[in-house]
Amino acid sequence: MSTHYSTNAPDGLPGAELVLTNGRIYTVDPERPWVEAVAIRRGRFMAIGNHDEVAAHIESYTKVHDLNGAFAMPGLYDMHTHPDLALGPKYSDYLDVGLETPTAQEVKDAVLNYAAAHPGDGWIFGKHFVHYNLRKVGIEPGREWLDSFIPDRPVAIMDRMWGSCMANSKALELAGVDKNTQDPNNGYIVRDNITGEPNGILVDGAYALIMAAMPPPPTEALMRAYEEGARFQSSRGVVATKYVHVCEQRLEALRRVDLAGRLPLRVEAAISWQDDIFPVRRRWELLAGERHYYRSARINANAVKFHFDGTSEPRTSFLLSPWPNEKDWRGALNLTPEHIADMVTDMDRKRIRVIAHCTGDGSSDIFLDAVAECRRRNGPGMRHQCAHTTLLDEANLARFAELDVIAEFSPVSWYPSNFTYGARSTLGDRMPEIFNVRGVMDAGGVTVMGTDWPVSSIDPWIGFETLATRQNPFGEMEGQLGQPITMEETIRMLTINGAWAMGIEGSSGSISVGKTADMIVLDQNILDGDPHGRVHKTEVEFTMIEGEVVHDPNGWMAGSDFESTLKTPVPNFRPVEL
Amino acid sequence: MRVPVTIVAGFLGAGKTTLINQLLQGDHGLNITVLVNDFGAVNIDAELIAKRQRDVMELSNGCVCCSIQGDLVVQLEELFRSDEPPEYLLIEASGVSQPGRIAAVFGYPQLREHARLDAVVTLVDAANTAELARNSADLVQSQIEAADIIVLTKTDLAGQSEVSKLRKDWLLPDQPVFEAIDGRVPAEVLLDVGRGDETRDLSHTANPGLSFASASWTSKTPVPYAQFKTVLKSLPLSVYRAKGVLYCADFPIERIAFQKVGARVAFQRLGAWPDAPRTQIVGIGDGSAFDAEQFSTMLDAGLLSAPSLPA
Repeated sequence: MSTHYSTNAPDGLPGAELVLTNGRIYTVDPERPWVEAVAIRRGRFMAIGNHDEVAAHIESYTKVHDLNGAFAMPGLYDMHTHPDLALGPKYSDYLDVGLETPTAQEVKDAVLNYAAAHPGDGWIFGKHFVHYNLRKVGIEPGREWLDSFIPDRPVAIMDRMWGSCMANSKALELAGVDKNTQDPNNGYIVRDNITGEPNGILVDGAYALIMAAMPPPPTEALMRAYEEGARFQSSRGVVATKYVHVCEQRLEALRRVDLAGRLPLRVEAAISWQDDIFPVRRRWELLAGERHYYRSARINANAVKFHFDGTSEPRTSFLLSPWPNEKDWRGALNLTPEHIADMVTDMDRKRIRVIAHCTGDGSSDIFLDAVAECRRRNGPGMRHQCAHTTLLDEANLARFAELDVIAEFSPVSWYPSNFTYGARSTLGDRMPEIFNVRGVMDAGGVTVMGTDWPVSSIDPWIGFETLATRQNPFGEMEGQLGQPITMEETIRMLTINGAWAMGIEGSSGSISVGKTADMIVLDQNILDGDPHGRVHKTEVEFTMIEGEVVHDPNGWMAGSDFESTLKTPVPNFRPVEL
Repeated sequence: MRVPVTIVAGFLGAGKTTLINQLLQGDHGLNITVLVNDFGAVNIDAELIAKRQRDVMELSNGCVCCSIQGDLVVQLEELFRSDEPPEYLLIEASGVSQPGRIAAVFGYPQLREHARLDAVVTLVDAANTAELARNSADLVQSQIEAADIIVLTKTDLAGQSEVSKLRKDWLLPDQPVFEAIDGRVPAEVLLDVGRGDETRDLSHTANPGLSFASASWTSKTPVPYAQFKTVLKSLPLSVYRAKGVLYCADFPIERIAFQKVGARVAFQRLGAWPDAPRTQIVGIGDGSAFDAEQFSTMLDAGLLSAPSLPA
């Protein structure tokens, strides 16, 4: 929450409200990269410089804090993440049988107890059952067994290994899964080969068909997910983020968190173009203008997100040439190139940013073509965003700058790890090419990072360190994957470039006079020494956004007007260190 | 014709390599391509080796043995799309893997037009399973759960009461169990040997010393598909495999083929009848518990008598 000052309101007291001094402040402003002190008034930097320059603004009412030589910099920008997907289901009061290896009877009892405690005809969804334990007592897992004791409301239960889901007939009916349903590329519906009727077991990607039919998590669960996610991000120094994929329920949850004063960062929310993650019932109303009802100083929904190709693990990323070790399989496109071109052009006219999931070099190629066509038809317009950008064709590196397209990279597998070499092994010889941040930067393009939680950790410092090292930060594996960038470039990528990606680089993203007072103070000078194994452990001692202190674990502002109103403990979503 | 695939699974030391060595050199008339984890452990009589490379060995009987590369799905797609796709594929699942995950990939659209999962055969060490499973019960259970047929090995090292206890504690009620003698299992039990000919009479295959029997059953009476499903699924455990073509009342102009391996029953449309429709079913089973007459009586009762009405 920030205070609104009318253009016509009297100017008020002329001095600084807050001065932070005696710091090593890296401004990301090329005019003056290092300063010692900053003065803040009405949420903006009114002066920066050495102590004497800033001290001129100190008045009797100014809160002055001595940073004792601490390192400070502008707040971070996490340009693609999903707290709702990571936490929403957990907070939704779904069925949890609560046993590691439940018997068939225990699963049945848990379903019936849940049904009794949640009367009505609503979904029963949760975890988990064990195929072996059902078959041990002669039960074939599937719709018939579930129907035998709960036929009248939809039920879907994941198996213990998360490789499949068991649904009853009602759930299949509501999800529209029948003998005519096509299998997705990354899984299948188990069926009778002759009649084609599903038996109620959906393997791998096929269970998304069930998920898509389920109602969204309750608003309270979404609110808690966003509030905790944002609070954690803010405690790790993030001041602006993109929550990529929202629907009307998610926007409402965000709005309520913001109204309660518990949204400590700026959010650009991207409305889902497709129903493949969850249904968006008011998509066209939102895109037509209803999205503005959710707008505030912290929230905008002037973006749309779509899925264009798949992912590298099941080799559904769309490539320009066949996948390694394949004769002609190039992956899959979910939407036609013509669809993308018309959609980008249309959204661009509405000043809506298009965020395109592009993991293969073929999908980013088509997306860049679509933006080129959009520019030809519309002239200069919105900066659109190429998300993940796992593989890029060399010839496309320069087009990000030419077309004003944001190159967003997700850190999940840009350094060596068992996960990287497991999940991305399908890339074969092309592994060293992945996440070519260096290539886009050298060609003049603007790069940003998106943590893409829950695919990778929401803690930005892991990606931060590994952008500059491309080495395993935890020492689990030797070697380097891809080309690192410098620490200075990394800082720009996570600050001013993020502001550029939100269209606010003129008012935020660096510590410059007149810009919003967004600043973080760290426990170490990240520019001093080898970042490897060190920067990911950075502790954030202070986070301020637009002059509002939102993270102050040491109580520097206690008792002053700047004391943080956020008193709830910071949740811990850091990965477990091995 | 889709390539039949058999997955051989089992915990470390259960006897997979012994079985694979035996299959590769066996006189089953199939050109089997075998994918193994430990290429070095495959021990083939030198006289049988026609060509040996780093990861591939061709045998004079037409079998080929390859080591499993990093990504099984990639390797499989390569194999099926190569100029000489395998006639029969046997995959050795690593001792610490979940064979159900390997079996699942044959349901994916990319693979299922090339291959048909015939069976998952899990080897279970009769003497040591309870001990081995102490720290990996989940893994052993998932290997057993995925199996269409269980081969018990090392039964000579375990007493009869130990074997019964193992069956009761670990194995599933609908799983046929074959007890291997000296690591030997007849190819007819493990593999779909009568490929491309659903009605070949298996009884002529000579396998002295191994106890299994076969029988066939024929009828010109159409039977509802659902009734076939019920009856074929409920064949006793002494029937290891059954296969044939069905004359279904609901699809009278089409031949419906079926394959049953243990609990797995798969049906497939084969197109129009070339001659007068008739159902033909062949079963093979445990020689000590299965006889031809009993098999016929069972099918007569299940398929030819009027379905009993629910009480």
